[in-house]
Amino acid sequence: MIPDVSRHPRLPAALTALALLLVWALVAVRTSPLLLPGPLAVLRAAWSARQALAEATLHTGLAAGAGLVLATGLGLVGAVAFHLSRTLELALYPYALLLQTLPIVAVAPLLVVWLDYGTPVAVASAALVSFFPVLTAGHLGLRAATVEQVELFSLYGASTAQELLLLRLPAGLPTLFAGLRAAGGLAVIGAVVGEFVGSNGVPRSLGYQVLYAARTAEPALSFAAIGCAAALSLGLFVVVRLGERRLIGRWHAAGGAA
Amino acid sequence: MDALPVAFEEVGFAWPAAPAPLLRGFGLRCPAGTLTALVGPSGCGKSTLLRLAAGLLLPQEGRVAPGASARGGLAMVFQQPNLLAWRTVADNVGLPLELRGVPVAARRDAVAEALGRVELEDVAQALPAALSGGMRMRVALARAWVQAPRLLVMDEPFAALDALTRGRMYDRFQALWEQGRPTGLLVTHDVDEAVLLADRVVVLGGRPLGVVAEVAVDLPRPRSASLRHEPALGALVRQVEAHL
Repeated sequence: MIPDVSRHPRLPAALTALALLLVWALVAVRTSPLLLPGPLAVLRAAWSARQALAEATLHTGLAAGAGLVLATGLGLVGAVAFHLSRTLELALYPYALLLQTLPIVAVAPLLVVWLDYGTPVAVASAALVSFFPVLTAGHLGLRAATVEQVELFSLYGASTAQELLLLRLPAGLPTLFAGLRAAGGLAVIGAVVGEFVGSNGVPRSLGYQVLYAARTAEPALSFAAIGCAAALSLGLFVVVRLGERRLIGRWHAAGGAA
Repeated sequence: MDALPVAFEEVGFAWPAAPAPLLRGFGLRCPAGTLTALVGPSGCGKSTLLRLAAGLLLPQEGRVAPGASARGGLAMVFQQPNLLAWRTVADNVGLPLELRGVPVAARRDAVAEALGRVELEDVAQALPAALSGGMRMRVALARAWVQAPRLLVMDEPFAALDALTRGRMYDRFQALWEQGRPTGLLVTHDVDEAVLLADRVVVLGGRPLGVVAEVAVDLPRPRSASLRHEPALGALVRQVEAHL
């Protein structure tokens, strides 16, 4: 009997995961463990390196989180500045767009030159890639209030600051959070790339772990570290979603659902 | 506070990039404390007149009173209740006072009184999403009344309501109106509504926009919604419709 998908909405995704694991295990059996370790080998490697992986995940998580916070602050300041000055928007927005087209892998070595080896490179790299989604979402969000709402504020003689704080910012929160959700995943990618290039082994971050495992021919450990990075992205997504629910869930439908 | 008269004098207005001006040498006077209904074809410029009167738009020629000079004594009711979804009912009603810097205590009293007038004290702490369409419109009316307006401009305020709710809103609106009697400008597509609520119905049309006809409504107040079936009102409605 085919189970009712509408009653078990998570079942299809769980079955897909199971099928993928099975295919992975079957292919791994016929392949050299140096090329493709099986799921059990990855689990064993993760367990024996659990201490190092946990520390690395924490370091990378902190770097990605710090980068995201930095990007959110700068992105919001930029969005408000663009909103207040059309001239500034016209002068700077094209270059903000350019920032998004920069390949972070190519920029990261420069960050090392400027910031030296260590965590700051990962933080800067995370901030650099997550800045643009926050800026655009913030910018778009500040224009989300309806014409009638803006007219209402103008009719009651609201100051620019009142319009911004009491109307534009709250009306823009749903859009801003959509941007933050995208930015959260990007921040982890940015942090790991920063660690690839800018880590000298202190602290032992996820980016470093992936590289180290590849160099010492321990692909199972590489897989385990990649799994940790994916879990971290998911974790940041969940944190943003919880913040969203808390701040706008009461009044915004998308903020309240799942 | 006294109601504010409205006057359009030789007003010229054109939207940017429009082929012809919307208004040229337009004139209209609404005495203080009267309610004037503006009716006319869709897109003829009725809403623009409201926004000029409220100072949300500035005329390119001529003079509009009161315009922006009446800030603080002006209220507007839109076709949609236009409430802020993240604010409670009470905070929505208190918004005009908050923007003017009225202290919290005074604001709380005024909000309670305004909500009492529309019988919504019970939902003061609810969010707009929890209310029905009719209740939201009552919140919008309470917000308009919270600062005792001297001029009230209304852009099809009852158009989005169902017929039953609309009938009740007419009674509520008139009860509010009788207290304070601000000058009122009401844009509507519903001729019955215009005749029922207004002291005078102005039929607008043409381009540039002009006054096609004025029909004085001298029916006694208060006018209950059931008056719509009275012959006297029907005759006035037909008189207005003849010019549309």
